[in-house]
Formats: sequence, structure tokens, C-alpha cells
Amino acid sequence: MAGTPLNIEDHQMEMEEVTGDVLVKLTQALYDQIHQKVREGGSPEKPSMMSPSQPPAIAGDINIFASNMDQECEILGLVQHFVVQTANAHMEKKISALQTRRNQLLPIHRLPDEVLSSIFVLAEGTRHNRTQPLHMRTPFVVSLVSKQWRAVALNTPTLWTTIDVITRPISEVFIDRSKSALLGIDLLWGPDCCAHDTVKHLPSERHRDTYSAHKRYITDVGRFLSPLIPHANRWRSLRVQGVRPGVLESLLSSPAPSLEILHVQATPFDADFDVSSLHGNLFAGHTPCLRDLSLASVYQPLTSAIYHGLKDLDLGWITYPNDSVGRLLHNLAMCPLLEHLTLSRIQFAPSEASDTTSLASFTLPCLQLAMFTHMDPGTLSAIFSSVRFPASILLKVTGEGDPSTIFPSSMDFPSHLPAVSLIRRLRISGNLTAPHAGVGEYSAPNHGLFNLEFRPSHQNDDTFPERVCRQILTHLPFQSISALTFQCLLDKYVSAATFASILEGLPTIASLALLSCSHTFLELLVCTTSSRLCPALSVLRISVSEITEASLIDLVISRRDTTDVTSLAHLLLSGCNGMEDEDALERILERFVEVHWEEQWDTVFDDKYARLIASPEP
Amino acid sequence: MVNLVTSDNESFTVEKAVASRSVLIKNMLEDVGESDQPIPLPNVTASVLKKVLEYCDHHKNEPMPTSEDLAAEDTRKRTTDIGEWDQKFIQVDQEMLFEIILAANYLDIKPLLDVGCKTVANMIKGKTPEEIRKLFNIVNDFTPEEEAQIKKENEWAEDR
Repeated sequence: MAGTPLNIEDHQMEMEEVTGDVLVKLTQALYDQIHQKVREGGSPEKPSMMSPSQPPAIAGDINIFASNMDQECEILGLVQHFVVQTANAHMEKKISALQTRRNQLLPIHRLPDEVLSSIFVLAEGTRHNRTQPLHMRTPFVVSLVSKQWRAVALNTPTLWTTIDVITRPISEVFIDRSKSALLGIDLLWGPDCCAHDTVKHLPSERHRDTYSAHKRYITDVGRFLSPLIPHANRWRSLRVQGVRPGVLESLLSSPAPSLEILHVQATPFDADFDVSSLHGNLFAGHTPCLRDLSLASVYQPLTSAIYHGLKDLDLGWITYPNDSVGRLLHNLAMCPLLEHLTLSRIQFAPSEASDTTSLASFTLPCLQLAMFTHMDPGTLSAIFSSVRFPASILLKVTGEGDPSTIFPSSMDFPSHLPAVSLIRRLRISGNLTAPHAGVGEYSAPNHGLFNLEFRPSHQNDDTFPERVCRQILTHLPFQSISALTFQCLLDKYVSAATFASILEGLPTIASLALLSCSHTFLELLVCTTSSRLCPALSVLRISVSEITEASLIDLVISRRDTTDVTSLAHLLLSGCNGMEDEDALERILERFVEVHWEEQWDTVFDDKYARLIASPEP
Repeated sequence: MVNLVTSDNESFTVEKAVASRSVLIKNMLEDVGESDQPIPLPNVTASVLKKVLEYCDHHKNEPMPTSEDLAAEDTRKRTTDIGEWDQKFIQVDQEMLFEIILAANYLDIKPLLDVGCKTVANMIKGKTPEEIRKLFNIVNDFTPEEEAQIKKENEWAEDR
């Protein structure tokens, strides 16, 4: 309020002057009206205190007069109540109208209702909003600010479309106020921001209410969904975590014609759980708008149309007892707009696994990301034989088996995985803590990324890294790798001959990094009359190595003095324990090569030197 | 070049690519064809148009949102994340913020309208009704009767 606050005492007299006469006349008129009505109702005529007459002369009259006065007081009480209430209501409305007019002067009030409505919807959609208790959720907060905001909020159906474990107790309010807008239903153990945490993680303080509400509902999903099921025709999304296998299938049998997103993460099947006992077809397979499907431990037969027309598909921890990988591939072919594909721990019945007989290869032109983790080689091999991936794909594969079992020898790489020929930088990694595992990782230009991890199909397979290293070049047709990194590669698992064969197969390498690798591999880089590995090498990075000064000097000088071999231009060193006098070494080497000492001892690829190690584009 | 005239009669001569970030102006230019006639913008003042043109100039090389993008936005939940440059750009006083939103709405510059709306959404998120009123200098204009009614409706929200 602007100016000095007003005081009733300061204005008492003026107000009394005005109201005195008016109030007497008003109350008299009201009294007369009621009194008239009471008299017409059959009561004997009574003298009025409002028009005093002579006092009663005898005792009998006293009682009558007293009774009349009681009635008079009663009428006056009614009048008083009415006057006060009416005056209050009138003044409240008047003040409220004035406040509304005052609000209309504000800059924010100039925003059109539809813009204000968009702002509310944006605020409602934030992760922050999902972490709030019910009374602090945006729809309720904004509808309590002012009349205008309330009117806009109540006329914004999309503001009332999120039904989760916190808003579910008043789902009828949401269903009503959302009118015909599509609903988003979440039975998640945390708000969006922690939706992907595992149930084993304890919820943070502010998510505890959500977590405990989820815990209550998940034991009776039918109760959670019961008021929502009649509105299945306007479900836009359904996301459920922690449901027991088979529960949803029995609840959700009617079509969901507007459903766009379905994410269900069930509790993992028990070892003895018979998946084939689950016959329920979610939404009767009728989800024509479904574009984003994520199922974990949820079995839906691959014959269901639920898998068609998707843009995002994520399947994990599912065994398909009656379906083949061919059926899965057939479904992928029915998703020509697929952008993201994630398959993890998907298994098929052994007799069905490799059945791809009737399927022709097909392209997924929109695919941006494909992740295949913990998949058996047969399934992967079938996928790579059938799907033609775009050149810009981001691909991550964790396969249990040798490269030769995952990438079929007959595979037509230029047409199925053209990104391989675009790869310029290659990283081959071992694993120091589990030396039996071999890892290959490749990065491609134009943001494409290959990350291929090969795991042995049985433990203690000591020859696995050797086989992986041998097969990487024979089964993946890299054409012009110019930067190569070896990481955690030990000579007890990979022979010098194999190491040399990799380098021989990649004569275009200009940058080479050996991070936490056996120093014996470095000796192979010394040029001799019979060996000239990496003839184009100009940048060498060595990190965490036992190489000695003498060996390093030999290596640098040999590469300088050999014809048809490029001299080293940059030598990047860190964590080389075998060196006793780094200054002396630098003094010797600086005549031949630019030496960079790196401070960090880690083996992580350092972006600081990425430009040096990365090769120029052809 | 395109000549724009504001409500306070100030002229701005800008590149066509900059002015065309406004769908309203773009359509006008397409309808009128090549012309030296100034385009009047009766709903925008010079100070606001200057700011709007700064935005349009910075984003002039970005692709215009397609009708497909706009349709997708209607149905999908959007975030309130704002790019770094846009965040700095929109750090203005409240009056200017709402003027920019109004201008973006009038001139049909969807990405700018988005930035403005997201900014206001970020301002209100996590606040109580009273805090929001204080923020925007709004007074509570509900009558006590209306408040009692709303409170009754919202009883379920208490203690939850």
C-alpha cells in the first residue's frame, strides 16, 4: 500500500456523521419489513420498542409486553446479523474488485492468458515440481495466487495431467480439471530426476515421501490404477517401476489409443518363474500412437503390435521362450523411424535364437544410438547381419564372445556398418584388474562413437585378450586409422607378435599412445633394418610405464635415422618410473623431438593432448 | 534491408534475415514483396524492439522451428533449461521481461517467447503463493469467502 497507513480513529467522526442517520433509517426499514411479515403471520398486534407507547398498567399486560420485547429483540438481532453480513460481503466484494483492478495494472497482468497458461505448464513440467509435496505442486500454488491466475489455471487442462504417487489421492480432481487432455501416469519410486536409480539406493530426504508413497501403491497396483483405467483412452504416458511380473498384464487389457510412452520396469523374474505363464497382451496390443517403449523384466510376446512404429525401444532382462531373434528383427523393421535402440540381456529359446531365415536386411535410417549389452554372440551376429546402421551411429556393444562370433565373416560392412570405415581413432584396452577380459573401443568422426567391449564367454580364458587383439583387425575393416591408443595391455596376455601385427595392419598411424601398457611393447617401435612399424608416427604418448631413458633414446634416434620413416615430432611422457634423470633425458632428446611432461599419472585419455594425438582429417 | 517503425515512432533498419525471425514480419514481407515501405509495429516500443532485434540477430543463422517441432512441443513435456547466451540476454527487470514476452508473442518469435516463458516459470517454481505475490507485486484479491471455499476444496492437500 502506498502512503501512510490509515487509522480508523482518525476517521471515526466523519464516518459516524455519514452512517448515523443512514444506519437508523436502514435498520428501521428492515425491522418494519420483518415485523410486518411476522404480524401477517398471525401474531397479535404488539407494541413496538421502535415506537414506544405507554407502559402497561396491569400484571397480565406486563407478560405480553415482555414477550413482545423479546420478539422485538429477536427481530433486531436478525436485522443486525443481516446488516453486518451484507455490509461485510458488500465491502469484501468491493475491496476484492478493487484489488483485482489494481492487479490489472501490473506488468505481469498484461500477459495474455494463453501465455500465462504456457508458463504454468512449463513450471509444472520441471523436475523440481515433481519433488514437491502436494500443496506445493505448481497447479495448486498458481491457482492460489490471485483470481486471474486461478481462472487461468483452472482453464488450463494440461496443467492437471500428471498423476503420480503424490497426486494420486486426488486423482479425481486431476481427471476432472484436465478435461479431455492426455494424462501422464507415473508410478515411480522417485521423481523424474532420480527415476533411474535402483530401488536398492535409499531415497534422498526430499524424495522420501515419493518413495514411501510408491511403496504403498506398488503392492496394490490395481488400487493405484482403478480410477484411471476408465480413462485409458486418454493416457499419453504410463511409467511404472517395481511392479511384480504379470500384474500389469491382467490390469491393462483394454486398448490405449493415445498412449505414446510406455515404460515398465518390473522386479526381476525369480529363477524358477515360468515366463510362458504370462499370456496377457498389454492394451490388447492396440497402441497405435506408441513411440517410446521401455520394458525391463516385462514379457510381451514379440508377435504383439506394441513393438511397431516406435522411435525409442529399450528392452532388458527378458527371455522370449517362444520367439526368435528373427521376430525381434521383424519388429525393428516395422520401426523405420527408430532413433534409439537399447537391448540388454535379451535371450531367446535356444531353438529359436538364430532363426533369421526369412528376413531380408533392412535399414534404420533415423537410428542415432544403439546399445547392445550382455547379449549373446548369436543374437548380435543376427542383428549385425540384418540391420543396416547409418554412418553416424553411436554404437555401444558389450558382447560375450570373440569378435569373430559377433561380427560374421560374411558381413557386408560398407552397407551394414559404414561407420567402421570412417573411424580415425582407435583405442584398444585391456583390463588390469580382470586381465582375462579384452576390450576394444573405437571412436569415429562426426560424433559417431563405437564402443565395443568383448567379454570371454567363460571365466579364466587367458588367451581371450590375445584372440580379441588378433581378430579386431581381421573382423573389423578399419581403413585409415591415424590415432591409436593401447590401454592396460600386458605382455603376459598379449604377445609381442600380436601387438606388432596390429601395428603392421595400421600403417597410417600418426599418433600412438601406450597407457599403462607393458614397456616391452615399446621396444617394437625401435626401427631396425628388418622392422619399421608405424612409419608415419609423429606423436608418441607414454604414460605409466617402466621404460628406461636408454630405451627411449634408442627408440627416438632409431626413428630419426631410418629412411622412409617419419621422425617423431612430439613425445608426451607421464608416470614413467623407470627414468632416473628426466632433465638429462630431456636435454638429450630435445635435439630430436619436442618433449612434453604431463603432470597427471592417470591413464585416462587427456583432451589437452587430443589435438596432438588426433590425426588430421584426410 | 527492412525498415521497422515502433509505436514511439523510431525507425530501425535491419537485415532481412534478422527481421524474418519474426513470423509476423516474415509473412508481411512475403505478402508485400520487395518494397521500401516501412513496416509499422504499433505494439512495440523502441526500447523493447531494440532488445528483440538483439535476440534475432544472435539467432539469425539458426533454423526456424518447423510446424512439426511446434506440434511435438504441445504434447511433450518441455524442460525450463535456457541456453547460456539466452540466460544472459533475458537478465532484465520484470517490466522489460514481460514486454519482451508480449513483443515475442505479437511478433510471433516462438523461440524468444519460449525463453521468456521459461524464465518466468523458473521464477515461480518452488515458491508459495504468497512468495509469488510478493515477487510480482500481486495482491491477494480473493474475498475471505472465496478463500474459505478454496481452502475447503484443498483440504486434501494439507498435511500431505
